[in-house]
Amino acid sequence: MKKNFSLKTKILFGYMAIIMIIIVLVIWSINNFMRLNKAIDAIMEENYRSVIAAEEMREAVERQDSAQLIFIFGQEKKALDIFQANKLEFTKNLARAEDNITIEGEENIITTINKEYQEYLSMFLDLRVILEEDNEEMVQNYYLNEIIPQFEDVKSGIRDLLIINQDHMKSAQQNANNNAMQAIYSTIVISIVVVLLALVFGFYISNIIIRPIKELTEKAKDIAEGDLEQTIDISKNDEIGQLASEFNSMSRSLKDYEDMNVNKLISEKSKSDAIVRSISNPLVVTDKKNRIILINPRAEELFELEEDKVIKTHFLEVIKEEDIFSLIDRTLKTGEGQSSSDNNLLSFNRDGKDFYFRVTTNPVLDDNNNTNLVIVLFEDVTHLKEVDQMKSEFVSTVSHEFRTPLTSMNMSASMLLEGNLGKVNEEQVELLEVIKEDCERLNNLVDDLLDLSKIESGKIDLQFNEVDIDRLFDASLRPFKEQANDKGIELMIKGKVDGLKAYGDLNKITWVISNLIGNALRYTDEGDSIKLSAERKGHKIHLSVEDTGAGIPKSYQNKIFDKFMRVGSDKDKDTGSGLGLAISKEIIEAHGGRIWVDSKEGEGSTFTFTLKRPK
Amino acid sequence: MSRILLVEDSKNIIRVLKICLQGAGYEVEVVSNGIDAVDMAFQWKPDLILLDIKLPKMNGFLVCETLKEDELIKEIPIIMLSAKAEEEDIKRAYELGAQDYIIKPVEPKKLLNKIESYLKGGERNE
Repeated sequence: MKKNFSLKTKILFGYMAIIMIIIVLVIWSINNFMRLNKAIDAIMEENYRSVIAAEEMREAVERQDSAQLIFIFGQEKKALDIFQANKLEFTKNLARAEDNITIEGEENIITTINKEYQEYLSMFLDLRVILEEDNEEMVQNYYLNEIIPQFEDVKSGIRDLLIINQDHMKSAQQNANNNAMQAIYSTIVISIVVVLLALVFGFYISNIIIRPIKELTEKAKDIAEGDLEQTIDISKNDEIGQLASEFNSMSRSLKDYEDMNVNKLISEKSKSDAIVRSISNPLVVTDKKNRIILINPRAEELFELEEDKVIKTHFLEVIKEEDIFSLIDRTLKTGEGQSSSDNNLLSFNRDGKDFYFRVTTNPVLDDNNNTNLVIVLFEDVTHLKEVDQMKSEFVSTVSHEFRTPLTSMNMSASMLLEGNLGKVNEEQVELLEVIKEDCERLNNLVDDLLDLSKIESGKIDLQFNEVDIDRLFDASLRPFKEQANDKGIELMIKGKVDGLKAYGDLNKITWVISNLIGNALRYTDEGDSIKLSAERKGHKIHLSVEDTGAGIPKSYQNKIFDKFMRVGSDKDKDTGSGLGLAISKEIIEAHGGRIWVDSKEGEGSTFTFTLKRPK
Repeated sequence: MSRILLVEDSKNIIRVLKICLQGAGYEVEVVSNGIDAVDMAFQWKPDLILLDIKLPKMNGFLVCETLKEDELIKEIPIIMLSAKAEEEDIKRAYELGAQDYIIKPVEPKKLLNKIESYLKGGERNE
């Protein structure tokens, strides 16, 4: 049967037991005190009064003896009074002694005293008779020979009574002493037993309380350490039992909760694992200390590694690519994604075939926006690279294939026009010029196509340097000076440009300005002017090519930077390809600048572009 | 009469240049691949070589390099005549010892001026 007592009851029960024991001890002690008291009482009651009575009797009999002597010496009246008074006193005390017989043998002694005393009284009567006979000698003899011995006998009886009582008093005292000692010993023994019992109860009760609490504490510790499989086997129905059952249900709930979370986490993890694994690009994830914590199968394949062997190893120990590592490091430090440039692709040679990868690093930020992990993604750009190569090969081939027939056509027309091979008439000259001009146009188109394809494929390599505007303008103007002179067009630099500097690729910017000047020359006539100017505006520098030519109709102004967009179909002498401004725009935008046109039809155009200033 | 070796694989350019050069009074020999060009240079020892880059069998760069390795032949001025306008190609040609680099198409007058100036220079050197 299960005990149904609460902890409180148990504690009270224990206390009750101890109180009971203490009560028993108290009763025992009281009993002992009472026994002691009785022993003392016995001494007082039984013996002390007998002793006093005996003393009184001895005094009375001795005074009677004196009274007899007084009687002998003639004082009869006084002697009789004393005698009678002491007789009364004696008898009274004898009666007291008789009333207080407590000891064995005491009764016999009192009877003897009484008998001897009666004898002694009767002898006094005899003495009075003898005295009346006036025989002085007889009186004395009788007193000395008869009365004195009888007096001694009475006294001896009294002495016996005294002795017997005193002896008994002594033994009673001994008895009381014994009782006291016994009480002390028994109290000590019982006290020790009680203390031991109290200790045992104490241990028992504290054990009852402490043991399950200890167990609870241990289990709670285990739970705190993450072992949620803990249950406490306490079948008691008291408060501890309740606590244990609550504890068990708590740990069960915790476990359920954790299982739920763990399942969620596991499913999330397997989801992300599956995603990472299914990514067809190689992928590596590194932690704050640049150690690899994840590597997908494609990356294993690429670097010929095994995931198990490289996990928790420093990136550089596994993949000895300083360039990639510097991207990871920069991402870790700046928290910004990085990407390898087109000129710095990671290349591999596998089975005689070249593979190219663009490396992109992205940070994984924590709640405080600190970079926790870096994801390194290798994007296979081999195909793009191939296409790119094909494209440039194609363009190069096409341009070559175009140029060859153009060369023979152009040369043929030139040679005929020179007239060395025979005279040509006016109409023939005109036709040959048409051939020549269109040859030139086609040739320019091929040139520009080549340039544009290079820029668009990102192949254009900008060599950033400090650019002296002075030098830039000089270099751009020089090739056009003769042509401008011939056409009667003023070509000049407007304002002061000394000391102005831009930041960019000198050759490419020269190309842009040359293109703008070339365009301006095409649309200007004799008397017009073309002016170059530069102006500092904040962090930028604005460069302009201004002409007083035909200007551009509003409807064209938005479109002139598009490919193959040309203004003024009436300009039949034009040999432009329609790509120059498109290329210029690409170049300026690659510099981080902007290009635009301000123009009024009939008044002229101003092309302006911006460049950064050197830092 | 100065002799010019024309190394070119385009039939029509050969036709035009032949007329142009012969018209200017030069003796012209034509080959249309790299190997023939080297052979002819050694055999015929022209005064000047007009050399295309894109050639069958052996490209113009290689021809130039081969010819410039020979102590005697290397004195012959070589003018590269190519449709290739890449800076790296021009640079390479000069590095290999070519005297000039002309991008096609070219004006006949300009070409003849250049040829004349190299031939004169060559005579002065001798």
